[in-house]
Amino acid sequence: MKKILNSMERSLEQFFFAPDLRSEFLAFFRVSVGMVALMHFMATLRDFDRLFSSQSIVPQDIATVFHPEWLLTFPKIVQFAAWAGISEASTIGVAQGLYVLFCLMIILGLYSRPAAALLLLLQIALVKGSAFFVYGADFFTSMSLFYLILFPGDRFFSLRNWLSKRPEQAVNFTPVKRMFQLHLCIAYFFSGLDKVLGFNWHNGESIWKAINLPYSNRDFYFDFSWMAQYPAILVTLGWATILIEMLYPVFVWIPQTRKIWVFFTVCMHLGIALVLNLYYFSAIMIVWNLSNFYFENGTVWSLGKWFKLKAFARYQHAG
Amino acid sequence: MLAVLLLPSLVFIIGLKGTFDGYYGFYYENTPYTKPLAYELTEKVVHSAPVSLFLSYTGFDTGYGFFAPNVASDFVLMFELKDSMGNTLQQCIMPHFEQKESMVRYTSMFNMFLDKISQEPQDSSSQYIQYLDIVIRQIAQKVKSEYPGAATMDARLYLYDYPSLERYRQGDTKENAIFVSEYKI
Repeated sequence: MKKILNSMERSLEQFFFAPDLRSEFLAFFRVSVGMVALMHFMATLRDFDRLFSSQSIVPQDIATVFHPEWLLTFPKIVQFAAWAGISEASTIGVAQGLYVLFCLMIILGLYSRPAAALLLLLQIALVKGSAFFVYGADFFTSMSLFYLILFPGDRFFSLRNWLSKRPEQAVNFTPVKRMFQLHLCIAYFFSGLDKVLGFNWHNGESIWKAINLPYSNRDFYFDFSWMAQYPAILVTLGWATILIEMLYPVFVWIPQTRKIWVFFTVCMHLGIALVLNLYYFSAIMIVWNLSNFYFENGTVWSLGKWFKLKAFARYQHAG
Repeated sequence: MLAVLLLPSLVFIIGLKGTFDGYYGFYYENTPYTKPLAYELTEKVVHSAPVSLFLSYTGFDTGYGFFAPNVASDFVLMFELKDSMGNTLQQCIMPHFEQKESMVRYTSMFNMFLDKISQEPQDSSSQYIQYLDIVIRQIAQKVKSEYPGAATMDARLYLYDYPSLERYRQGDTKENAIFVSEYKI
């Protein structure tokens, strides 16, 4: 028993700590997150006042009434700046400028960790200060920035290296990478589990309802009415969504199915983008998928092989 | 080793809590129930001060049950602007936005109005419902200020009811707007 526990511990250590020197995923993740965060910010910039300032559609004292005292929100920053004699317009201008600057620093790889930390603080302050206008894309952007703080993002393919003539250094970022990969697997598993618990996901009604929501399908106006005559398509789409999500933690770890499962998942997010018009949510989810598993090679296969060898050894020993 | 397991464990707990929230919120909406121990434990962990602080500042304070267990119904908030004679000047369904993504953000707010229809009628005077009414009135005021010629405004909240697949197949192909509440500004 002790032997088994020891060997399990060793394999877990191997899984979490074995050095992985392939840095492509890290450069991809850093640049993509920076770009998505920047584009998402620019996509509401002209409406900034209506969403995030004291001129917001919903006054911020009402929007933040249920927030705890310790939560830093943009209205508090504005209030503090006003106390120091800085007008709200100036504070907004500086915040907008800093937001863009931090995104560019992340994209270019110029002190990306402190830039990610400061951007996370600013982004959280903005979205928490206008909590009514927040959705999934914001949460996943925040979490991406958190991972960019943990990852040594500007060690590879970065302006910082180029400016300082610093050679790319080998850093073991496997522990953070594994945490990130497990995070994505758990997220998809629960997303699928929650759906399988809803009976309308079994009979096609949920897909039907989603594609006919009042604010969906406003860009391409696809005609889905014909689908009502072929409910099997809707049932299949519902179950496909459940299976893609729930079985994600299984099939992305098997080298033979990894790429195809990532492909299915990316297709699902492209569908969400085109039909539900949630472009930035889909973009950040595609970035998470590609960063975590597109560049991955054989981890679980080797673990599986190791377990097989152990089982074989035990079998021989018993024999 | 424990340190690297901590974050995935926390994500698991958040996911599990989200599943409980969604399941009990959907199937036991107006039915009393006893929370399973696992549900209570996940709540305790997520609401504990240090965890809550960490979750809030990292964006981890989100569930993962997108569109689950059921695709939530949506709302239409209709604004009817009138002149001093009571003639309708303009009808619109949202404030003026210059960019599309702002509309996505605006409509993502409508989820919270589900509480207006899910609460028992005797709870309609509850503080939270009053709070939601204030939110709608504030939005309406904002829209009215965009039209200087408007003397009054009626804001009406409708539940958007698209025929289910079964109803649609039986020939009921028209969407309905079910009246929820009205606000005179």
